[in-house]
Amino acid sequence: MASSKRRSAALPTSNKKKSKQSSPLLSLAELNSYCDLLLDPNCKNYNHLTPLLEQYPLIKKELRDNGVRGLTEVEKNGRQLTVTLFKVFQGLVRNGALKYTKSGDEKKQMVVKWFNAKYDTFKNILLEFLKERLSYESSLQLDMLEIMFELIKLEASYMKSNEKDAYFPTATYKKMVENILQSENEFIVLAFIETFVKYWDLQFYFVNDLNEPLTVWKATEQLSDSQLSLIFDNFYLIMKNQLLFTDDYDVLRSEDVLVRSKLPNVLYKLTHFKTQYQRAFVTVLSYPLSVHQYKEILVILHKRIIPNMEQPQSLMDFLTDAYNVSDDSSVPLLALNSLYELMKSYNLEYPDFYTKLYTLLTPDILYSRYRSRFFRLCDLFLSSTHLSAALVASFIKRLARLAISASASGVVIVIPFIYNQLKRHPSCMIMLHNPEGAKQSIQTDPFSETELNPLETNALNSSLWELEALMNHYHPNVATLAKIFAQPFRKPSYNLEDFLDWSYTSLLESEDTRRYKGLAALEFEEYQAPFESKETPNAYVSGWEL
Amino acid sequence: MYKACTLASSQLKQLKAALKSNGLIGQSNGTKKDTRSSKHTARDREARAETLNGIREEFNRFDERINRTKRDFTVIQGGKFVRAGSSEHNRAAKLKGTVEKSLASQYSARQLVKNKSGGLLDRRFGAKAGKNLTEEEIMLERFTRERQQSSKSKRSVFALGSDDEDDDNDDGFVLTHSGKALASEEARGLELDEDALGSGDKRYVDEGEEAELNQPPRKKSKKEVMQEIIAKSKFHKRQRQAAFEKTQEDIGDLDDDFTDVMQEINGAISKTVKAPAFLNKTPEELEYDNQVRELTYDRRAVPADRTKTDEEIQNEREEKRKKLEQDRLNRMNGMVEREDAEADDLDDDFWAGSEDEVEGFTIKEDGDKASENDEDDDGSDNEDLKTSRTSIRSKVNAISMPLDYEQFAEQLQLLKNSTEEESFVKKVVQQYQPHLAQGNKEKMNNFVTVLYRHCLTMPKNLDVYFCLVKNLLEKYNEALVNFIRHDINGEIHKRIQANGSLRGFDLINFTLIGMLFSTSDHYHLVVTPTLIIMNEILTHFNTKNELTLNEIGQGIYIVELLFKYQKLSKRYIPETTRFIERAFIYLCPEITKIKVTDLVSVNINPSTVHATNISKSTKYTDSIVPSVLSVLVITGKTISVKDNGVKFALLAKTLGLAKEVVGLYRELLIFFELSLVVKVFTSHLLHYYPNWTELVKFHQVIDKVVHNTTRHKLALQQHRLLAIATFAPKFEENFNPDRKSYDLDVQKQEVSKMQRQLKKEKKETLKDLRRVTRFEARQQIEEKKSMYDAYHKKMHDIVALILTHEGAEKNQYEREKKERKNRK
Repeated sequence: MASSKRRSAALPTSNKKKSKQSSPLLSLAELNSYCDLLLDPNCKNYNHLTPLLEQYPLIKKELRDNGVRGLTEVEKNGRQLTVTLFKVFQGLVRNGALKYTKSGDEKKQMVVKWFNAKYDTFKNILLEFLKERLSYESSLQLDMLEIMFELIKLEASYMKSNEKDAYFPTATYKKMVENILQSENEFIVLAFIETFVKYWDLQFYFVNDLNEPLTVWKATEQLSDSQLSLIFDNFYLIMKNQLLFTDDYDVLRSEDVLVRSKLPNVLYKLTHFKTQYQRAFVTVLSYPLSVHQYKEILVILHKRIIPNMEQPQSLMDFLTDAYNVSDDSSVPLLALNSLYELMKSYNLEYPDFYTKLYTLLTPDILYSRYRSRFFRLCDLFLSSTHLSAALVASFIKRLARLAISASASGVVIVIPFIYNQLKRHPSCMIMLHNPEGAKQSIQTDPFSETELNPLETNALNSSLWELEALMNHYHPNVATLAKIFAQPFRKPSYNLEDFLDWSYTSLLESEDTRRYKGLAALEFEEYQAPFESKETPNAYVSGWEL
Repeated sequence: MYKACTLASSQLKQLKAALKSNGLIGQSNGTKKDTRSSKHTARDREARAETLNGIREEFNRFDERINRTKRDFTVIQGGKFVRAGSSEHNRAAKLKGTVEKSLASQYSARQLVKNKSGGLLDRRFGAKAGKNLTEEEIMLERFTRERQQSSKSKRSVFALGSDDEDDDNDDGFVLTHSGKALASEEARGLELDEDALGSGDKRYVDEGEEAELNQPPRKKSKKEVMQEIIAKSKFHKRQRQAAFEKTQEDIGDLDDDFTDVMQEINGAISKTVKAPAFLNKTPEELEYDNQVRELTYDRRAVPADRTKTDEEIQNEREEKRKKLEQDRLNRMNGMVEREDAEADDLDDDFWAGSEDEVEGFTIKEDGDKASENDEDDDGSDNEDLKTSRTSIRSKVNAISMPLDYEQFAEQLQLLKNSTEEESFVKKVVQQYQPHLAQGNKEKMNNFVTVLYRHCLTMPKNLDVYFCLVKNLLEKYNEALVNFIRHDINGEIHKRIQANGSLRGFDLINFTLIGMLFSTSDHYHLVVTPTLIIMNEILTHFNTKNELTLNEIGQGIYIVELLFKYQKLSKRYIPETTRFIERAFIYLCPEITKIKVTDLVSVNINPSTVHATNISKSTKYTDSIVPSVLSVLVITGKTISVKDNGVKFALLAKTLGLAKEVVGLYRELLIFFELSLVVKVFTSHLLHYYPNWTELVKFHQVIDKVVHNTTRHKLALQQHRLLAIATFAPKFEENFNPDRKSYDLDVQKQEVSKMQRQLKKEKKETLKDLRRVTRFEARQQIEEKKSMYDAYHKKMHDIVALILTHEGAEKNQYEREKKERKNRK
């Protein structure tokens, strides 16, 4: 059988040899002839697989090295090649040619082995392609991804040992996932996600088998930090989507799956999934993370990830680390959300929580993008009336101090925040109204700004002079808002939500709604010119020129 | 009794017992009784019914009425102890009460007078009050009354009495005149009138004549009387018509004669006076007259405006400035009544930017000012009127107004120098005065924006254009305001949002806005959004991790403008505080040596040294610092970080800003913290540049300032004490629980009180009246009774007397009879 194969393949091989010398790549016509041969149902000569498979490295090289020009042809070849091979293997798999049978003789076993080897090579080649970032954003890769999914489907239905077995080709899928995670081409990752979000089995086996490679990658020294970071990015990209997972067994059961045949029951074991999920995440979070990655993961952590974990307490270390990051003030802010979630739902105790919270009040906080998140939580933390007045006073004074250098949107948050705190902790009103202290004149502020412990800042002896400055704020509405402190505290509390999301844009938008009424007031001071010069001594700005 | 009965036995038993005891049931006693009863059946039956009724009543408890004694006390009434409210007491009170007594006395008094004292009954027609008859009506009334009376007498034709008697009865109603019955006289008068239809003069009659005419009076029927009346009125009417016709005729005659008379008169005059005076005038005189006549139509002379002295002009200008300053101050403080707004005013709506709230902050344009502007407008229009008219006539080739900036730029290219440009603009302005054509005002508005845009291109003669814009802006304001708000500011905002860099004209725009508009206002349509944008830029710089020299320069310029904006209003701008600190940190040498703790807004990471920091080794010399920085340079190409001159210039500018801070925010209570920050930097810098004279001076100043600043603790909540709202009922001292109504409204209270009183009075009066009538009725009955008693007694006496007489006679008769019998 093998000899006949060889014989029948004589012509193309000689051709190939020639072409190998002249041009390593086959032309489309040559390729077509091979393909026709292979796809002919009567044809039994599968030796052509070898030269065809050898084409891939060449195609890859072409695609990687050359620019955009002239590549469409190579790509076309590649696509043709891949499709053909897929069809060939599809036929083989369907015929059961890749299955070892107990009864078969040695020769037959050898053929099966040979086929399997070729099939594995084909898969590996495809996966290798997925990993690469080719110079040309090739649709070839996308095709290959699709073919991979097809292969998984194929394997699931034909490669199982028994007809009635529940089977999912975990090994193939695991390899695929590993390659995707290492992929430098984010289009491939996105294309993968597109299918991924739809099918529960993909998601389950992704999480199920992930921990091991993640641990291996981290442990081995081969991968550089940048590669690990790439893996993390891909992981984040995939996992930031809402998974189909729910705590409701029946709902989960009804979710769509890629593999239509019977699937193992483990797929629907909730605790198993949660444990695997948690392990994968704990491992991936132990990777060296950049500040940006910290922020990314922290933003979704408390809402998307913690609920899917079996024991979220295991995130404690990670969150504590994040909370203590001092390079960037927004990382602790973001960690606060998840920490709160853990404290609230999982009974986590955090020592010196308020001290730490107090240290978060840095000048940057009012300029931070995440300020509304922070103040929402901070309001919650300070809502207890059992907190000591000294502590609340420190927070109030500190925020007031921050407000005198804050942006308008920050000031807008601070004012109602302080109002609510004062209303909640009336013993702090002494900072606003101290008739005894008003009689003596002092110079330095008794409040110690450098003190990190909010209980010892001596804020209660101080006064909120900063608010007086805010009453003279340049923006009329903010100034009016600040004037509430000079009025009787009649309002029970301000709804903080109304003040959290103001920005210069929204301020300007509200300006736009005002209509022109009568003449706008003009300056009556006569300036001769904007800039100072010899002829115009009476200028608006001095020390500048055009 | 009731109680005892119920306790004793059942109702049926009691009834039986009662019937038995009255002998209505049970055994009767023999025949004796039967005969008796048959004799007196009728009477018996009555008695029986009576007893039965008595028993019935006794057993019907509900008909029993009990007099409750409200007050159980005894009074002495007529020498006896009587329970108050008892019938005894009442009777006695009725008889001897003061009311009763007074009623009795009144009654007796009336009785005494009744039918005994006389009064005057006025029976004259119309004399009675309420009948206000006119003279004529009285006469008519009198006449009809008399006629009716006389006709009534007809009815008595069949009366039994004689005619004379009848007449006597009517006597009161016969009208008389001078002691004689009028009827006859009237009848005669009518005849007379009929006779005198032609002459109508015979009104007065002698007595003798009258006597002659006196005839026996004849009574007329009603119909006759009415006919007479009608005839009479017709006659009078005819008379009036005749008189009118007569006068008309007379007038016509006179009119006819008039022309003749006039002719005669004229003829007479022309004969006597030959030359009339006005013909006598010389042509000169006529001319003079004409001129005089014309003069009356001339405008009345007005005293010319006195030329003002320099001092007066100065005063006027100062006054105007003062007014403007006052307006500005008002605007700066916002609307005065808004000042003490309640905390509640800042509700969610406020932040939702609702229309009302928004308007709450817009500054009301002073009515005076607007009208003043209008007047100015009109005045200048009038002044310009003549010149513009003439100029238009004189100019054959009119200049067309450029409608957008592109057209303007094209037209400018044709002109050679700036004076030509200026005159071109002026011509355009003159030609498009709003009163010259419809739509000119909009065109002018548009033209101002075109000019403003030209200013932003920073032409060489920026000053000239600026002055033009400024002058035009006093009238044409709207388009530019909207243009700046939406187009320019919107564009800058978008650029900043997209992380773009500032352009030169952005800064020029901010500068021009500061120069053109009143920046101290609490709210200003243009300035407030501009402030927001400038602060947005600063915030952008404030959050950036690395600043370039260009950005520092731009920031410094903006902060400088912001301080210029707030020169008068001195509002606090938090963003600048942070920027100034950051600018120092980005410029000072060896910033890591600064004590971080004294800074307000910036955390200095000790490890970072910025590329823009001046290196430690660079020494300061006066020549290294350029005196002026160019706006175009800082917004232009990236300045090399090696350019020490620019660095020093920026540092000097930052120091200048620090100085401004010290000047501007002196009043603020956080001034100590602000100045402390400045001091930190100056002392740090002093260490490196001890030969920088300005720095040294400034450091000394700031040192002193920091040392001298003191403040008091806040006491912001010193409000009038307010009572806690309470819903507990208040204690009212004079509250009377017996009173039915409790009305807090005083007026209502009064009204209801009056109503109650009125009702009470009415009731009492009615009661009184009833009491009096009741008393009178009682009294009359008594009187009648006594009268009848007296009568009966009298009759009885008479009868008795007669009877005694008769008895005596009878006795005598009997005796006589006896005697006669005896005689026989």
